[in-house]
Amino acid sequence: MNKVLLLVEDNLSDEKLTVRAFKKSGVSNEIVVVRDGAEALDYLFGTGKFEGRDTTALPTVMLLDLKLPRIDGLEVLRRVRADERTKCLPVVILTASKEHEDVARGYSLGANAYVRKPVDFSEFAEAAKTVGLFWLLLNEPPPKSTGAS
Amino acid sequence: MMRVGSADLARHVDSLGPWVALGILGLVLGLGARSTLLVVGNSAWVEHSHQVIEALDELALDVSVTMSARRGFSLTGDSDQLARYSTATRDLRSATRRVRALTSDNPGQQRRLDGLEPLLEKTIVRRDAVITYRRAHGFQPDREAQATREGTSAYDELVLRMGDFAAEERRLLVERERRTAESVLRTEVSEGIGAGLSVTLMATVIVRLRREGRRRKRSEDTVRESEKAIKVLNEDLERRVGERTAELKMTNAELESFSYSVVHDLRAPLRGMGGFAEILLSEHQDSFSADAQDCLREIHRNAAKMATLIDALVSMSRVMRSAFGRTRVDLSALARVVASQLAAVEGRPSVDLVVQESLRADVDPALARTLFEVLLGNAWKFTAQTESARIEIGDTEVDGERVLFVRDNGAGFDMAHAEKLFAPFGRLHTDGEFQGLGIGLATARRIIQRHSGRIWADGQVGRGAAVYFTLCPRAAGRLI
Repeated sequence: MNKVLLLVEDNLSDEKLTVRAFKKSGVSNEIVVVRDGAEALDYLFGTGKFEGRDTTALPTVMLLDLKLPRIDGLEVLRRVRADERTKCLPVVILTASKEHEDVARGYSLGANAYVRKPVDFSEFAEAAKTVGLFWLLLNEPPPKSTGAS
Repeated sequence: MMRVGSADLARHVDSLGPWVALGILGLVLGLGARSTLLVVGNSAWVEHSHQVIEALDELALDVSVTMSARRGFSLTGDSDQLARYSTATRDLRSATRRVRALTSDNPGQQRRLDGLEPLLEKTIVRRDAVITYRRAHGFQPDREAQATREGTSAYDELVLRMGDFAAEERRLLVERERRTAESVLRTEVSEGIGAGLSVTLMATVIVRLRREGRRRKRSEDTVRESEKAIKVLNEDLERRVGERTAELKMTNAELESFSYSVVHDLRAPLRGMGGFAEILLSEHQDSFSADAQDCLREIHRNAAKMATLIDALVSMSRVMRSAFGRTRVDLSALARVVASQLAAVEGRPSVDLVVQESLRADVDPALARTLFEVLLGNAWKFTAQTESARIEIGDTEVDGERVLFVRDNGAGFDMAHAEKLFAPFGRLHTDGEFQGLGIGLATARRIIQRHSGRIWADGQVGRGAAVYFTLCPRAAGRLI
C-alpha cells in the first residue's frame, strides 16, 4: 500500500524544509509537491498537467498552504469538499497565518486540522513528525468506496 | 434709521388703515340711517300740514254752506234749507274741533284758533237768531238786508282770520317740505359716500389680499428653495461621508492585507534562513569550526527574534483593527484569571497578588484581557528578582476622576526615561536584565486610546513601578 502525501506549497525554501522535516522524522512515503491551488486541483481531478492520472488513487493526506498563487488554499479546500470524489480527503492546513479569521474559515470549510508553521526548524520538524505520524500511521483513512462513489 | 422709520409708518398704516376706513364707513352709514329717519319724520309733518289744511278747507266750506243755507231758508222758508243749515252747523263745529286737535302741537296756531273760534261761534249764534226770527215773523226784506250786512262784515273778518291761519299752515308746509327735501338729499349724499367708501374699502381689501397672496407665494418659494438647498447640502454631506467611509474601509482592508503579507511573506524567508542555519548546525556540525558554528547560531537566533518581533507587531496592529464594543466587565475577576495563567507559565507561587474587589468597567472584553496580560505580565517579569514580590491591582481617585492601577515592588525604572515606556520597542532594560520586545506598553497604550482613556506610569529604580490608566473620556468619568 503506497501512501502518498500531497504537499501544496509555493515557497521552495518551505518545501525543502517540509520535505526534510518529514524525512528527518522517518516518514519515507512519496511526497507529491504542487506549486499552487490550480495545480493541486489538477492533480486531484486528473486535469491539465495531470491529465489521465488515476483519480481514484487519492493521497492519504493533503498538506495545504493558504496563501497560494492563482487559486488560494481556502478556495482549493472549498472545491475539494464540494466534489464527491474528494469530499472525504483528509486536509491539513499548514500555514504561516494564525489569524483568527483564517483558522475559523479553514475549519468551517471542512479542514481536518490547522497547523501553524513554526519559524524554528526543530519545532517545525517536530510538528511535521507529529502530523506525519498521525495521518500516515495512526489515522484510519476513509474507505475507498466512499471517496469514489 | 430713515428706512426703519418709514417702514414703521408703513406698518402702522397697514395695520390701522382698514380699521379707520371701517370706522368711517360705520359713521357714514349711521348718518345715513339718521337722515332716513329724519326724512320719515319730516314726511309725517308734511302729511300733518296737509291734513290741517284739508280740515281748514272743510271748515271754510262749512262756513259758506251755513251761510248759503241760512240765506236760502230766509228767502224761501223751505225746511230742506233748514235741515241743510243744521247739518252744516254740526259739520262746522266738528271741523273746528278737528282743526284744534290737529294743531294741538303748535301754540301759534292754537292762539289763532282761540281768536277764530269765538267768531265762528258768534256767527253761528247770529245765524241761529236770524233763522229763529224768520220762523216767527216770516220773510222781511229789510230785516234780511240788515242781517246780510251784519253777516258780511263778520264773514269778512272770519275769512281774514281763516286765511291767516291757512297761510301760517301753508308756510309750515313749505318749511316742512324744504326740510324733507334736505333730509332726502343728506340721505342720498350719505348713501353715496357710504357706497363709495364701501367700494374703496372692498377694492383696498382685494388689493391687499392679492398682494398678501403674492407675498406668501414668494416666501413659500423662498422656503422651497431653502429646503432644496438643504437637501442638496445633505446629499452632498451623505455622499462625502459615504466616500470617506469607503476610503476608510479601503485603508482598513489595505492594512489587513498588509499585515497578512507581513506575517505570511516575511516569516517564510525567516524560516528559510533560520531553518537552514539550524540544519547546518545539526546535520553538518563536523564541517564547521567552533567560530563558524557560533555565527550560524547567531543567524538562527536573529531569525527567531525577528519572527517574534513580527508576531508582536502584528498583534499590536490587531489591537487597533479589531472590532470594538463595550460591555460591563468584572476587572477583578479578569485580573485573577490572567494572574493564574501567568503563575502557571512562570511557576512563581511566591508572588503576593492583591486584587481590589468589585472593580467593574464598561470595556471591550478582548482588549481588556490583552491589557491585563500586558500589565500583569510586566509586573510579573520585573518582580522576578524581587524577594517577597507583591503585585497590586485597584482603583483610586485622582482629581475627581477614578483611575485604575497595576502596581509592583519590582525593578522599577528611572522617571527621566518614562516617555520611552509607551513607544513601540522602547525599552529601559537590557536583555541581560529582563527579556522583552518593548511592545507590551505600546500595545497597552493603544488599547487605552481605543477606550478614549489615558495611561501613564510612575516608578523608581529598585522600588517598583505603577501603571495608571482610565478607561473612558474624562467627561464621562464613569468607573463603577
